[in-house]
Amino acid sequence: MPFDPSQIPIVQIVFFVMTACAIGGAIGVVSSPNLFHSALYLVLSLFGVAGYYVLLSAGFLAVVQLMVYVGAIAILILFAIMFARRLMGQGENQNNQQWWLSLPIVMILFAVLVGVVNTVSWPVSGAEPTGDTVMELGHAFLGSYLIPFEVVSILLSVALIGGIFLAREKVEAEEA
Amino acid sequence: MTIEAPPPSDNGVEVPAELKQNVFFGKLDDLYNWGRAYSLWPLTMGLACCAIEMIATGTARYDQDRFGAALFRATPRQADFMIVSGTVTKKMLPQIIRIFNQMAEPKYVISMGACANGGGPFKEGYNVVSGIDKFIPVDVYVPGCPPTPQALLNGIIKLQEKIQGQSIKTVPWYRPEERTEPVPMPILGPDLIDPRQVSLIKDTLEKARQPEEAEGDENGEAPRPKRVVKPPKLPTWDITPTDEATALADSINQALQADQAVVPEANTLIVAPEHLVAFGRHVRDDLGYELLSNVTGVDYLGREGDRFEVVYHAYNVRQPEKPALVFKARAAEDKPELPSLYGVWKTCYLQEREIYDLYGINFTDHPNMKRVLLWDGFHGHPLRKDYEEAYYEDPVKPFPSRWPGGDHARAETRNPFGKNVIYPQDWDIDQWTPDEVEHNLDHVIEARDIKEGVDFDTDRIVLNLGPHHPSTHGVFRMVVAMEGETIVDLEPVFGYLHRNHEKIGERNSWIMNMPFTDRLDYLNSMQNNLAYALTVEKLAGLAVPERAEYIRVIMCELTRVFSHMSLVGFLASDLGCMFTPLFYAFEGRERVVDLFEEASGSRMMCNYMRFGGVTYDISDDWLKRAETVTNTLERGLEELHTLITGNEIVLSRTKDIGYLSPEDLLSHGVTGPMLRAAGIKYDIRRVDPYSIYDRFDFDVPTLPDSDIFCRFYQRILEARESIKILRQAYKGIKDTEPGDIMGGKKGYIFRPPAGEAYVRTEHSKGELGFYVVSNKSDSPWRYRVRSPSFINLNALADMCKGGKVADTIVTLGAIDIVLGEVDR
Amino acid sequence: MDLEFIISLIVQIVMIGVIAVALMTAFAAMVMVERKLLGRFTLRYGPNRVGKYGSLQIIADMFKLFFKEEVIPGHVERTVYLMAPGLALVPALMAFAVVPIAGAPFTLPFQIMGTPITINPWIANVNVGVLYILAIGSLGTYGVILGGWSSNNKYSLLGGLRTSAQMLSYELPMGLAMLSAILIVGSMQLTNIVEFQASYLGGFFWLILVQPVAFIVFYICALAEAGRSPFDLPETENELIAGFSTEYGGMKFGLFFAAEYVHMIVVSFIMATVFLGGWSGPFAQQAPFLGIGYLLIKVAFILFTMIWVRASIPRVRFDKLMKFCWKFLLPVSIANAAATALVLAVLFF
Repeated sequence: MPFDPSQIPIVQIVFFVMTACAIGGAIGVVSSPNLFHSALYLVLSLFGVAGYYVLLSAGFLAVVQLMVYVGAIAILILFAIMFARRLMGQGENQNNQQWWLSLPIVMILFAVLVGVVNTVSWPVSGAEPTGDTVMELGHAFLGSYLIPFEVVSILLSVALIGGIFLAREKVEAEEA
Repeated sequence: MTIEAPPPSDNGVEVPAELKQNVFFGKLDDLYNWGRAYSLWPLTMGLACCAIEMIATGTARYDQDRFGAALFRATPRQADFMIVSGTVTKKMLPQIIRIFNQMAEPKYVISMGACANGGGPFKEGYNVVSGIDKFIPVDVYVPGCPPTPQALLNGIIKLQEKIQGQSIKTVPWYRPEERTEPVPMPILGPDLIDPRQVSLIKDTLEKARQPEEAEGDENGEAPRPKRVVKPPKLPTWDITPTDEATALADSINQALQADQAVVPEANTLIVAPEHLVAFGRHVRDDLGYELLSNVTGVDYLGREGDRFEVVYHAYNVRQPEKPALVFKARAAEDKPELPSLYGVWKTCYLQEREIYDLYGINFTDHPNMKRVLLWDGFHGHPLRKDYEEAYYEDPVKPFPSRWPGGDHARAETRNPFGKNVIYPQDWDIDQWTPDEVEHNLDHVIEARDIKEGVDFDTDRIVLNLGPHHPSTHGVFRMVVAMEGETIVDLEPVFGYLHRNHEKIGERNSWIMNMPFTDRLDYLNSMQNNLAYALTVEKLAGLAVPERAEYIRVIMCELTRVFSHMSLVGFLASDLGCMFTPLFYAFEGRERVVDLFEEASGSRMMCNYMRFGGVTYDISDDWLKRAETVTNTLERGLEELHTLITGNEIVLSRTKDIGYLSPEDLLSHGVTGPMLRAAGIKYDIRRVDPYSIYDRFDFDVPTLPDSDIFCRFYQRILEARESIKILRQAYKGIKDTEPGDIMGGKKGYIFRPPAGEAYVRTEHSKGELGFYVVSNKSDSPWRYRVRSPSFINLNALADMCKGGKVADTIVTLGAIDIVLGEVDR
Repeated sequence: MDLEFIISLIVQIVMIGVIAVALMTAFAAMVMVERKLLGRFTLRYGPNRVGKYGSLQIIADMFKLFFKEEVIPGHVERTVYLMAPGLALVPALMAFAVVPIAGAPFTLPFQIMGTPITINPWIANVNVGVLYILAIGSLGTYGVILGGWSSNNKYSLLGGLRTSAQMLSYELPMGLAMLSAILIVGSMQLTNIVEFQASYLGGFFWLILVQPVAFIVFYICALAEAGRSPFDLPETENELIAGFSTEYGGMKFGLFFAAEYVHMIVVSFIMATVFLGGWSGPFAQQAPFLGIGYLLIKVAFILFTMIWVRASIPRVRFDKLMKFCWKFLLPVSIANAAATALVLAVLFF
């Protein structure tokens, strides 16, 4: 059989690479003894998820994932870690006294998740992905999903103001 | 790094493959050498005076960048060659070697100037390394003191030629077996210890500790002639008290309610040590002597009674018509100790430490009584009269002893580390370990014990700036403790350019010190010359002809204009302006140094003034050109002013930064433009006129805010006043007699009468004073420089606290230091 | 179909290669031009010994860097340390993918295996192009941060810290400035943005005319993103020796060096595309090559102003940059975006 490049399962290959990134990164986050390395593994994991979005033709979400999580939140985490300079090069102990307690809980949780994933029948839509997801998203947010959208924004605002409030409190306490 | 010709191919036609390879390597060599030769990135490292000419080489007239050799890199990892520009001191040497070891191969070294080549004029000093090539391999030597920019350019071209002669096949750095090991780091022990010379030191120590007769001539060499040490001639002069001094002493004794607290002597007061602090409080608070300008020690070796004397010069700034207050305190030889005046005048922080360092007088209650110019483990107190330097040969060093019988061997070739290096009696090099504390940053900061009240949970970073740092204006070092980027503490560290100016000055004959003063503040050699000449003239009672006075004023004010312009340029580059303003300022400098070169024969180190006048007269043509240059300078100044003063970023970076109240400034002993930028109208040219400054019509500008912006703008205002003075001087000099430039009678030997003299002048950076004591011999008994840069740095820590790292750089820049003067 | 697919794939790969090489060449030229211009600004000639007018200076520099010993200091985090320079350069190159360099596809005058070859004037025409640029731009910071952290040097660390803080500050106003432009065009696709500008006023309806505020905000943020003076805080030679790259030498430093310039060039391309009409200009629609010329002229002008700024303005202080971003740029760009939306709503609904 002659080699047919169109038969190369590109999508599958990319999917597995992305999965490796996402899961490998996640394992790295919890297993790396160095906090800074953990943060870097988190970035890798977030990358993998962004790759999924691309495969799902959700370009907008993929780019937003990069911009917000990789570009801003992960950098903020790195920023915080860099301030704590003492952590450089030092391995943190991976286990604390409660590791034996958490082990069964985590295993049960995993079992439950596997069970749920296997029992629910996931409907597969045969529709083509829409082209301009931005427009669609905009209409969805300000149309049929207006209420949840607004509730989420209020929640975020409250969290933001709360954060500022907490930070202010501390500054005053220090000054006093 | 040796130049080796590629091996000739002996079998040309027979083995084409080999030939091909040679052709290939030949081409590769060309390419390889071309790339390296025309892309030489220098390391930003200025050590001393030569650094100024190194900067000048980068500016408009010389433009080092044409050769692809001016992409200055501040980090050794990225640099290709190092210009060792100036005096290498023992304290600085480990840092230079560390930097050299950090550079990646291929790396080259240009040794610039007499000092780097072989110690230069400071060779015999106790803290000076006589030649960097004793430690790191040098590719090109550039002679001169300092070399002109053309000479440095020539050095760079020579380096390029050298590179072009190498071959990729033979250069050592790609052959593991030939790679040079890192240069072993010298250690600062009782003296500098080169690890390669440990066995030699051991031998010498052993020999020296054996009884005298063991010193023999087993090598067949004649033993060195035994030095005849004549007992020094103590300076004595008439000390009958003047009426003013007696009256003052009586009133102070009354105020202190003590009988013999103060005793008058000539026109000075001798204060009993136990009353010193009370006396200080009284004269500061009740008599208004807020500015303690000069504190220095004198060693009267062999005098009856107390051997050491500390001399204080205090001034009343608010009532400048009041005379200077000179008082002294004496300390005994066996346990020299005096109470510290730090609690009264903060300026004592550095000045008393300096006295401790150089004389070993301990000041009780001083917050940080440690060495300041030398390192902690140093053995001995160099300015004591019985201390001898490594290569010391004779009290006055001209020819007889230096080249006995025409033998041109240099002292250090007979004995590579100096016979006279003094090690403590019980010191054993095998048992001894270097003091790590010196390198521990936290230690420097902890020394002042101001950690109280600091929240330990927030992570403090202790950052070291310098001595090799692009913005410390030379080899100055600051240890900074930061929280985030906010500075909580700062400790300056000095001495990386301590080239033993005062010790050398006490061995030189009087006139031989003149060229050394050039190398104090090497941007302002003329003003240094003037201050020293005035001091000796005061001591010897010499008169100066009018024309010489005019010439002196012209030279000094030209220097001042340039000095202020370059400050503006340096400050702008500290603020992060590329080099544009600095290069514009140096454009003006080139014109001034051209004039100096014509008048004195040297661009930077003019050595122009003499006791009683100046060396050469200036021509009418020179004057005409000087007027043109003055116009150019004025234009340049206004250009800088428009370029920088109104810029929003400059304003936001300088307004309200580095504030210190006028009272604090006075207490720290700060003088000059910094003080006037805090609103205190105090200019020595006005309050205590010297030379002929009382003839000129000029203002003393002041600014109110005492922040960086005021300090910067103050310089522009003062430079304008200098231009005013210059214009008047050009007019005035026309009425004088050409050729009449020297007063007094000519002679080969100059011995001023015994006595002491202190003269202060308004230097570009503050009050420059010289304090000399004469014993009516060829050389001064005591030669002290009250350098404004050093004393102004007292205030640095207080100005920087609470600011950011970036502010520290600018604050330091606005103090306007020149390291030659700081460390002397 | 298969053959066509393969050919288009090959063409695409060749195109990526060409663009990358072109960008690296542009970087070389840029360094050259900058050194010459800085020379002129400071009354000097600048390099003039190698090649005509010193034009081969950067080649010599690159040769030198290539042959330089690769030092890896003993105290660094090896993997991260070696990764960082690449991470700095790659995103800078990647951002160029969505920039359209001409108005219409080129058709090559020959055919390969009977298939006509057309080359698109872009590498990828992503429908969220603007967001893509912002996202990739934020990735470029990783190189600097990782380099700063892994060097295990206080100066480097401070450089890295400053970069991360600076990055978080200027991202927002930059995005909002872009948003104002997007609102007017109604698309995030860069091709649409240029076509929009080309289709009114005879090809001169540049967005800078209707959005001057957004342009200025974007320009300032672009300087900050490329780490250019007066926002070159990550390196700040006067304070932090060489900032994040203090421990880097040889080719590793060369990559950082290249990244800075490529970043600057790409940002200028984006600015020219979004605000200065990209390839648009007289007859650019008909002759695509003319479009490339117009674009290059605009980019060259922006780059010149960046060098000019570098030669004449001092650096802002780290905390003042943050204050400036959060307290001035951000409100201004929010107000600008809101005003744009309001005006558009009034005009069109």
